[in-house]
Parts: sequence; structure tokens; C-alpha cells
Amino acid sequence: MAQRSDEGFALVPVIVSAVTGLVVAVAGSFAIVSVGTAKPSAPVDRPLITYDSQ
Amino acid sequence: MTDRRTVVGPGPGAVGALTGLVVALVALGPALARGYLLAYDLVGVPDQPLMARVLGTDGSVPRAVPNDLVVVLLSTVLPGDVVQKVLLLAVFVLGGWGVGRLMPTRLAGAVAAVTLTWNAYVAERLAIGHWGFLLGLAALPWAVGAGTAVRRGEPGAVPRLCLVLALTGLAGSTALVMVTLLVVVLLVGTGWRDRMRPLGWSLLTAFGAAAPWLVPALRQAGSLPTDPEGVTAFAARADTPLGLLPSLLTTGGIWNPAVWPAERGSTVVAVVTLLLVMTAVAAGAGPWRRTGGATATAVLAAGALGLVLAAAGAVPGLRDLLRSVVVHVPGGGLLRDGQKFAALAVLPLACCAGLAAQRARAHVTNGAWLLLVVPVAVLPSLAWGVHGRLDPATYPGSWRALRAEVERATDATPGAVAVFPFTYYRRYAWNHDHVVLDPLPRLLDADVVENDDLPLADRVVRGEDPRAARIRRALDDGADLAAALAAEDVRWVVEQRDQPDRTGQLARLSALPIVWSAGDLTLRRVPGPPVPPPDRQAPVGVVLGAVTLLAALGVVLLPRRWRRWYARAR
Repeated sequence: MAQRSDEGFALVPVIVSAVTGLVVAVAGSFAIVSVGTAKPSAPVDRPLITYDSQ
Repeated sequence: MTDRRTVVGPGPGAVGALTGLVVALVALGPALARGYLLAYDLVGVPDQPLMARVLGTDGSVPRAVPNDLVVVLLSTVLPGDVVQKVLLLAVFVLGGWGVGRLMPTRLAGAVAAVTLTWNAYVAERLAIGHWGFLLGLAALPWAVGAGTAVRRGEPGAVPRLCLVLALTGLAGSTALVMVTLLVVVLLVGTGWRDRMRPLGWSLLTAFGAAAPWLVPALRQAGSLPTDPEGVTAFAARADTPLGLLPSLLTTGGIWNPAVWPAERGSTVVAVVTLLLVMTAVAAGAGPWRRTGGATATAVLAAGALGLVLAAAGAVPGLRDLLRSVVVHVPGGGLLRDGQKFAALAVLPLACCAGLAAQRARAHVTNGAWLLLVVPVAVLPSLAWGVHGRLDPATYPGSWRALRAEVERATDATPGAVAVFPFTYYRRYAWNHDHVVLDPLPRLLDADVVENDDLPLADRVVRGEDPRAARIRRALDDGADLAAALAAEDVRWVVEQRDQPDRTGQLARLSALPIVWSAGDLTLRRVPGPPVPPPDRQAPVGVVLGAVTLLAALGVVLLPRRWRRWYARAR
């Protein structure tokens, strides 16, 4: 049950809404950033691995 | 700064902590499952041994002191992979809790907590594995809380501030420097003469907490000078199409493009993020300065200082100054990746965002909670293990077997162990092909010689280990590699046959006798005369750090216990 303080701020709905919002925002945006993330193979003759390699 | 008189139930601090926990679960996601996180500089190994390198007594650059010591000590009671998760969770929960305590209401606390823990700084530093920096970020609001109490002259405030500094020291040099800078800015300013003693105690504590890395840094007689090339290589870069300053203002701008969140490259997202930051500061800074007074001004000033330090490596003039500090001042290498100091700007942004949300609630009572998801909406790829960048892995059985074999080998024939191919970073199929710092120096209970040159796409930043430099020279000159290794007291070589070896280094080791092999790992013996015991320094720095921490803990905790004992006795 939501606990309402005299500052007019209900805690439980905020948490539920925030979590839902987080999940929706993340799930909805994943399609955008998921494009083109093919993994490289691992032969010994591949290029040097650098600190700024993907 | 906080007025809790109107709050019923959990206060803003508790809401901030809870928010931080929720954010942690979303941000880390699958990374919290069992298994070791191996991504760039984030290296977890099972049962990390307590070695000279961990104590900062082997003469090498103390980059991971005392962070690794903390991991080693925690690993005595928890599995190594769980230690990693605990430390990462602590970033979010402590950060959210700390900033929530600075806020007047639960809404402000929740929004401030999300802003502090869900931003480009956290995404990029998490992806590159700088967990110590992130713990430093989480410690900043606690320093503000204690510093504010000192400014108000509250009893017991100075010991509390010293304890924050001492505990921050456990997170490493960068975290401590950031928090110390903030504390100094908080305590100087108007009326600073009255705060000379707290400032003195704070600085004394900071030096004590810095001793584990500062003492080895000052005693590094044998190390090569820091490569000034690192100042340019590790300077902040624009990770948005808007340029460097907007990138830094929106808390991003790390030097390494490989860890930039993909959406930061979108002009629309970058503009929206910048507008949100400007709105938060415009709406929140005013109320904050009215209620927080000089403390708010000081935190805002520290944020500005953080941005200047972050940009220094990329600004002509400042860059030259930075280069001379990095090259000539012991421990100056700490400053070359300046963007890490942008954490000082994340804290005031979070506070402003919280207060701006509180202000917004006056106009949209039931919709203000939506502000909680705004930071997430503009940076979704922080979610779920930083979009898969943090993915637990299990070490193959051959790795654990290698550790036992090396222990037996070095017991029988003492000497250093060199790891080939002689490069710093690896990519293992069993670790989802993520780039990671070679885990062997942390896994093996031995003196491991590794190539500490930092290879980048367009240059190499030279390392400081003279032994590694001589072995590199032998490799480049085509000299007798076995003889060169023997001259450096290397008696054992580990080959990682699944790693790139385009220059044929492994072929040059083929004459050395194989003593053990399993999976992709081979252990070879390097013939040579008996090796004298390595020259180790006394762990003065670690002892000084421990004394500082215990003293700070004692001053804060013991009187309270004495009071309880006294009350019971009566």
C-alpha cells in the first residue's frame, strides 16, 4: 500500500512506475543500439589487440 | 542542506539507496550472475594471491594499489567473482544513498540518485572497468555531507569527514584525489580561517590514505619515466557530434572510443541530453544555492574544477603544463586520463536534477516521477551489463591448473615468469571475445613480467617497467630471446597460443623445453643460473594507510561504543 507523506509524494507508485519506465525505455531502445555487433573470430594471426579495440 | 521535517516514512537517503539498487539491477543485469567480469581494466581472478605487486613493494608503478589489496582481502571471505559484484553494487547503492541524503525530499533524492548513477560517465567507466573511479564518484556525496557538517561546526563532523577520506583511499588513487579536491574546495572559501584545523586533519588523513600508492610512487627509482605521449593519447575526446565541451558537460568524453555508448553518436540524443543538463542546472542551481548556501557554491565550483581538469589534456597550453607534471612529478601519471575528474561535475548535476525535479513537482504533481526515467531514456545502452559489455565468464580448467603448475615450478626453480605473446591486452573466446588486460599477472602467485606498453590503434604509450623494455628490445632486434629472458631473471614462460602473434614471438620460444601444457596454455622453462631473491621494499605505504584508516575508524566509532558501555555500566 502506498504510504503518503505530507509532502504529497506516494512512494510505491513511484517505484513501480519508475521500474516499469526503466524496463520500457531500455527494451525499446535496445533495437537501436543492437545493430551490427558481430563478434570477431580468434585465430592467432588476427591483428594486435589494443587498449582501444572494440 | 536537508530538511526532513515534512517527510514521513523512509527519508530521501533511503529512497536514494533503493533507487541506486534498482538502477544497479538494471545497469548490471546479467553481469550480476556468477562468473568473472573481464573487460578492459576490469580483471577478476579466482583467489587472487597476496603478492608484492598488490602491496606496492615490487618496485612497479602502483596502478592498482590498494584496489587489488582490497580485492585480495575481500576474496578471503567471498569468492572473487562475488567480490566484483559487491564492489559494483556498492557504487550504485552508496552513490544513490549519499546523494539522496543531500536532498530535501524523496522525489529529489530519487532523481538525484538516478542522475548520479545513470550517466555517460558511469557507462564509459563501467565499460572500461574503472570500478575504483566509480567508487570515488559514489564517495563524493558522502564527503559533501560530512564537509557540510564541518562547515556548520557540528560535533564529531571532522572525524566523520576524515573517515570518508580514509575509506575512499581504499578505492585507489583517483577516487581519493577526487574526494580530497572536493573537500578542500568545501573547506576553503568564505570563513576558511575558522576551518584551518579541519582542513589540516583532512589533508593529513588524505596523505595517510594515499600512502599505499604515494610511497611506492616516490620510491620508484628503477622505473622508466612516464611517456608524455600518454597525455595526448588519454586526453578527453568528444564522444558526441557536438564537440568536446558538450561531451564533458553531458558527463561523457572518455578518451577511448571503444567504450563510447552508441547513442552518444546521435546528434539528436546529444542535443536532447545537453538541453536536459542545462535545464537541470538552470532550474536546480538557484534553489540549491538558496538552501545550501556556501556548500552548494563550493560543490558547483568543484564541478567546474573537475571539468577544467577533464579538458586539460585537450586544451593547448594546459596540455603542455599537464605534460610536464606527468613527466616530472612522481605519481603525475595519475593526471593523464583527465576526463575521470569529470565525476566532480556529475555530483552537482545530480543535485541540481533532484532539486529541479522537486521544483517541477509544484507544476506537475503526479507526473514528476517521469523525470526518473529521463536519464535512462537518453542513455539506454548502460542497461543490462552496459549492453552486454560486462558478461560473466568462467576460467577454463587449464587456467587453474596453470596456477598450480607455476607455483610448483617457481618453488623448485625460483625466477620470474614472462607471458607471451608479449602484449598487454587479450581477447579470449571463453570470455566472449571481450578485450581485457591479461589476467595472468593477477592469477599467478609469482613475479610476472608483462609488457606494460599500452598499444592503441594509432600509437603506443610506452610503459615504465625497465625489464619489459629490455625484453621488447630483444624482440625487436631479433636477439636471442632465451638469453634476454634469462638476463632478466625470467626462468619460466607462459605461452597463450590462442592470442594474436603476427610477429612470430611464440616460434622464437620453441627451443625452450616444455614442462606443462593444457588447453591453449604452455609452460616452458628458461635455462639460466640460480636467481637471487627479488629486492622487495618494506610495505611502508600500506601500513601507513592501514594506520590512517584504523585511526579514523577508531575516532568515529570508539567513543560511541564507550558511551554505550558507560550507559550500560550505570
